[in-house]
Amino acid sequence: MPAPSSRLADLQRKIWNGSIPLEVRLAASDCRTYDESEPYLVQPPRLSYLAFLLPQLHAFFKPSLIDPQVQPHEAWLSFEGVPLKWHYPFGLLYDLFSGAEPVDFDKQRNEDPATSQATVETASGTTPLPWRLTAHFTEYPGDQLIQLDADGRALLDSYINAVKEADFIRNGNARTVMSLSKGDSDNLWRAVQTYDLNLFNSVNSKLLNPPGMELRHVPLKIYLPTSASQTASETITEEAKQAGHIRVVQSLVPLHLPSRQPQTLGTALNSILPSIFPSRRNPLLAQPVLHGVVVPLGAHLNDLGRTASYLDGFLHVAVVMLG
Amino acid sequence: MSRSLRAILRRISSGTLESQEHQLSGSRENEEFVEDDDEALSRSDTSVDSPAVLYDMIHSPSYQVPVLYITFKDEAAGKRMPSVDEAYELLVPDAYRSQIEATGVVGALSMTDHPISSTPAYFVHPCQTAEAMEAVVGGRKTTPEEYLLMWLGMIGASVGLDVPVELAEAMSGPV
Repeated sequence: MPAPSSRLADLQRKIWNGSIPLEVRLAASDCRTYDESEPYLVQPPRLSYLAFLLPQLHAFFKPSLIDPQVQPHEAWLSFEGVPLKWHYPFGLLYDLFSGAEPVDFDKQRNEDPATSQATVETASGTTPLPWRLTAHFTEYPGDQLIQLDADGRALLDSYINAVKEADFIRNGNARTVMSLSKGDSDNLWRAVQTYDLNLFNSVNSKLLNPPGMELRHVPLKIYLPTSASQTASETITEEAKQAGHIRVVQSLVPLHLPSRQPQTLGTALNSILPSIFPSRRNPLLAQPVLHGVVVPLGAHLNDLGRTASYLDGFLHVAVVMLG
Repeated sequence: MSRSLRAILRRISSGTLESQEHQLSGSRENEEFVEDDDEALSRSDTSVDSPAVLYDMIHSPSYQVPVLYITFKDEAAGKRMPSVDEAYELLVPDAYRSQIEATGVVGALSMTDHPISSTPAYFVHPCQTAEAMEAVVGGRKTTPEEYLLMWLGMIGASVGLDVPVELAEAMSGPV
């Protein structure tokens, strides 16, 4: 049974309000006082993009920079040596790289309430919060990260391309997004920059409810860290051997099964990655994670799409192997 | 278009032409992501000393058409990728470029993560491809090879990719 719309709206707001504390330190090689600069503390929203932090980071670290002429858009962030991609939403980066255990409400329901607090832990039991990142201002890894520019054009282009792709996936054409007024598309980007839920919904609802069209597919991207992708393929690629390589899997996912039953996350994952999700109902080998939470395989993709999508219209699902 | 699409990956370097055949398959309605040999193609064994442009044709599950990806390899440039304008300048003569842009059937050059290597690459935006190909194919039945040749002629030409006669003959011959 589809969830009532007020519950979906509640859920969307909760997800919108999710954020993660960050502690950013300046790379020793860029710092006049080597490793003794103060860390920058900030708590960005999960759905947003790290690139928006660059002006503040630059202003904060400028007094300590060996080369004070470097521009904010030449900076880049890394976690344990892995450069963080600008066009990945911040929450997705955390789900993929931080090592934090995702919260599993099903598991908690079955456990003794005294021990089942929602604490954030890594597999080894340490807490990965605040998430510790390193800011670099030299040696931009242009072979791994898309080059940014002073006007934020590259970030905007990458966002718009994703929105167009999501629209195309939903409807089989990009007419809806292409017919947005200039005001609407400007508002959409402004809502992303200023993180304004009402402004965002005012435009996004047009994309989710195109007049006269029934949505066909759900925009979904699945991220497999190296250990997961090795289960699925026989060849271990050169790229996969590099730390932090994530395999991205996409497939057209219809909203309904041929039987007319609604498509769930489980039926979709079982159909796209049967070696990792052999069961449509039970996560035997791996769990799908969205916004730091293990998503039940029975969740309807239609509901998920409307409440748990990121700002670009996609469900960016991280796969975490079990055991 | 028939169910199986044979994609020909080509590396064009300063003189040598290697081609490798990889099979991508998928049905139109329920797209199943099939593990294919593309992942066995290792970029790190490119024995190219001089700058090179690598073209990849990869089927897009979202747009359901082939998409052309372009990677620039230039050790001398270090890790810096050319900007969009620089890329156009390297690939397409100016006069030809204005012609291409006028037709409006070929999408613009954009940057993204290469679907296989996850590193930055340019791609020709596919939002117009399906419509443009329909106009060219005109309801005829085509083999995958014929489709790809037409696709290469349209999309490839916009970014300096010509199909050598030998390859065209090889693709049209008996499979």
